[in-house]
Order: sequence, then structure tokens, then C-alpha cells
Amino acid sequence: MLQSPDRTCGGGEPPAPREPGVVARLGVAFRAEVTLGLLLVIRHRAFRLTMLLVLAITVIAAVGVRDRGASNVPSTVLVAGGSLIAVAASRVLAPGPALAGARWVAAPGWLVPTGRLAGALIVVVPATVATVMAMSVPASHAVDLVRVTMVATLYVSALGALTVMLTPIVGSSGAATCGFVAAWLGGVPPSAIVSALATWSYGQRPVVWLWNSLPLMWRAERWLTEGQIADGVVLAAWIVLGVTGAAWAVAASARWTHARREPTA
Amino acid sequence: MTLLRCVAVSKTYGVGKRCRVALRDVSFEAEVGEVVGIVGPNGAGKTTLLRLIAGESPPTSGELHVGGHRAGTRMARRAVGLAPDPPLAPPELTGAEWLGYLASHRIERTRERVHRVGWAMELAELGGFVGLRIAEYSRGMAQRLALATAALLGESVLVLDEVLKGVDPLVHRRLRDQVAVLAAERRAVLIASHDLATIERVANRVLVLWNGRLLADVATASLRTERIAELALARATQGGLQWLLDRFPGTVRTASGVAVPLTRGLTVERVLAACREGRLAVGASRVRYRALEDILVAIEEQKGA
Repeated sequence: MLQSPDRTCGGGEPPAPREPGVVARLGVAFRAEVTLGLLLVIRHRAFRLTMLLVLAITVIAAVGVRDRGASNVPSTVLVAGGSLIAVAASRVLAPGPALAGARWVAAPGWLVPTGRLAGALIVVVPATVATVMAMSVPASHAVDLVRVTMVATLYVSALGALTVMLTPIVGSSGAATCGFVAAWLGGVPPSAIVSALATWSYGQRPVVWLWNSLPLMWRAERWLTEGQIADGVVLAAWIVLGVTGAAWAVAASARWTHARREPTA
Repeated sequence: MTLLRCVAVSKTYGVGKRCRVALRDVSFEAEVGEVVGIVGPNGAGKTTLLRLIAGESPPTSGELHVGGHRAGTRMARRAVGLAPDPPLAPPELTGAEWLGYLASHRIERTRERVHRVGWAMELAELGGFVGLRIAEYSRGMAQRLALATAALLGESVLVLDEVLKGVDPLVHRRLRDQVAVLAAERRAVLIASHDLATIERVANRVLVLWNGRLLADVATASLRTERIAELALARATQGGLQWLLDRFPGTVRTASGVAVPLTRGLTVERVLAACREGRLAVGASRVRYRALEDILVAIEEQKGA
């Protein structure tokens, strides 16, 4: 004999929710994704350790800036922001519960990666801005600081989108490694890559092509020094590309994970 | 009203020499209010079937409709609540945060959302530990959170994979009732488990999967109409046992003797008389209802033969 829901569940199951408007529904869902992205990042020890690393780098660089001038401020800010976003973005769609949840909610494809990336940026952008502030010296122009902050924000967003896209495909550690390598080696300009690979003709072309295409630090630095808007456009395009790729990877990930987990079912 | 329709569904993994068939031509339907148990040995295809219904992967062939929508589409996935085995929930979050997050994708208004999350917590009896980080949960707690998650998300069909495993006996008993209540509301519930006693108690129907094939679709009420006589035989010879097995069709060996189905007017007195006639010493006897285990054992013996 089935029990009455009123007796088993303190008032029983609530009635089916009323159908909300599309915009309101997406707004609530987006806010939930941002909050989840934020929690997944700040409660993970890898991110907290990276914060410590970045703090140490910033302190060392800030002391150097005050002693020798502000020549390496943008590089330090970009390395700091890049390191933080590489680790943060690798958590938000990590294979396991975070990725499974992204499928279960059955939201529009763009919503989950965009919301969770935004959640990660809520932590990383202020930390990056704090790095800019810590390295500013009395002689720094406010305009320069704003420019550095703006470029750094766009750069970490693009690198974060790339990392988010890679996470369902190569896993959390793999994506964090890719992002970290990009953040630390990305300052090498393509011309230096051409010289370094001059004797390796087969590999040179694809590596240089990759170096020119990815949202790397050299591009953000060039945008700061030369002011070419094309660099900003490339970085912005990577945000769209990364989110689109992540949406596709979320949808397809169930097939990969299931095939990996149960090859002989 | 049919909430789940599965027509000749097959699923294969890999290609060429590595191709493995997980499901072959599985067909069944589930109506609103039904609790359908899925049983079978390891590798029978239970989890694969549940994952196909939840839209986690597409069938290789056949048709699968959930709540009137093709499985895997967004509308179908919104109709399904999945409790996977092992349970999946981010260890960094608390149970309340996780349920709140999931509810935000279904309910716009804050008051309704809070009410529904409260209902799901109460349903799975999460009250005492819902504020703890999920990393600190025991297996039983995580299973209960998985049930709450499925109930929260599943508008039409609940897909529960070993959801009561590891839950303490008293809560287990109450959650069994809750699963029945969930189905009675407006849903169909599919529950896969190796715990046959639980399935017998909670399900209206049981599907027996074996090597990816659906071998039996049994109404659990029908188990109550069939009885089995279990005899513990002392010093039975191989020949004597075989004589008994041949005499009563459907009889199977047990650890201590035999189990004889009491069908077609057969009574336990007649079985005991046959044992006397065959000079088989009966140490003890009892009559019980037929159980799912008997069906599985009979299928295994049939396959072995």
C-alpha cells in the first residue's frame, strides 16, 4: 500500500513549477552557473596554492619594479593572471560531478561554460587587478594601469575559455597543464620560435601556426606596446571559440567517458 | 500513460574485433505510477540501459522515447532524473548548495525553489548532514543525495542505479516507500540493483537482463502466486538427487538440497512422499513464495544446459 505523500514528506511534493519566462529562467540558471563556477574554484586546494605562487611572484616582481623601474610590469601581470585562470578554469568542467552536472541540467549549450567561466573570472580578474595595483609605482600613469588591466582581463578570459574547452577532452590536470604552459611560455614571440625551430623544418610550420593562433601572452604584450586592435580581436574571438568548443565538448563528453569506463559492458 | 517506450534498442561499443554488444533488441514500456526493477548479473547491460534512457549516450539502433521525446534530446533529458552508481556530486560543495544549483535550472522563483529543495532533502532524509561538504559524506549519505538529485531533476522518469546500496536498514525501509510515492505522484521509476529482495519489495515489474538481452518481464505480484518447497537433504547420493530433479520439472539444486516449484497442483506432501519413495532422507523442509533469485537461478541453469 502506497503511503500518502502528505504523510511521508511533510506536506508532500510541491506542485510542478510554473513555466517561467525564457529570459528569467536563463537569468536564474546563469546566476547558478556563475555561483557554482566560483565555488568550484575557490574551494579547490590547487587554486589556493596557485594564489600563493602568484603572490610570491608578485611580491618579488614588485620589489624589482621599485628598485629598477616598471619595465616588466605587463609580463608579470599576464603571467600571474594566466597562471590563476589556467588552474581555475580547469576546475569548472572537470570530468566527474562538475561535468555530469553540466549535462544533467540540460541547459542551452552556451549557458554552462559561459556561466562557469564567468564564475572563475570573478576570482581571477580581481586578483589580476590587485597584481597591477601592487606593481604600480608612484610614477605610473593611471591610463597605463587601466590599459594593462583591460588587456590582462581580455587575455585571461581568452586563456580561460581555451582551458575550459580543453577540460572535458583532456581532463582537469591536462587542461591545467596546457593552460599553465601557455601562461608561462606564451611570452615567447613567434619570431623566436621560428629561429629556435629553424633546423626542424617539418615541425616548424605547425608550431609557428599554433603560436600565431592561440591566445598567448606575446599577443597581449604586443597589443599593449603597439596598440594593434587586431590582437584584441583575436583574443576576443578566442572567448567565443572556447565557449563554443566547451559547449560541444560537454554534450559529447558522455560518450567518451562512458566508452572509457565500460569498454566491455 | 506511457512515459518510457523502448523499441528494439541495441547498443554496441567499439568497432571490428573490439566490438562488444552491451544491449540487443531490448523492448519494453513503462507507464506512469510504475516502478520497474532491472536485475541481472554483472555485465548484463543494466547500467548501459539506464544511461541510454538518461540520454548519456545514444542507442546504436532502435527507438527510445522518454516522456514523449526522443531520448538524448534536451526535452527528454529535462524529463529524466538520474542517480548514477557511484553517486556523482562535487565534493567541494555542501549537499544544500548542490541541490540549490540543480533546482535553479528548473525553477525560476526563489520561494518555489527553496520549497522544492526542502522537499527533496526531506524525501531523502538529508536533514542532518545537508550542510556538510559532500567530501565528508559516507557512501549511504551520498546515495541519499543522489536520490534527492534524481527526484529534483526528474519530471517524468527517475533512473536509479543501485541507489539504496549502503543505506542503513531503517532509512532503507523508508526510502523504499518514498520511491513508491515518487512513482505514484506522476512518474515512472526504473531501479537497477543486485539487491533482489529490495527490488521485489519496491518494484511492480522486474526486467531480467542477461548478456544484453531482455529475458524476462515479470510482474512482482505474480511471484506471490507461486510457491517453492525447499528441502534440506541429508546424505543424498548423486543418483538420488538426479532422480528427484527428473521427477519434478523446474527443480533446482541448492546449497543444502533442492528447491521444488509447487506448480500444477503439486503439494509439499507429495514431494515428501516422493522423497520417501526414493529413499532420500529429508533433514528439514519449508515452503516459501517464489523469489527473483529463483528466476535468475533458473535462467542460469537454462543457459548452462
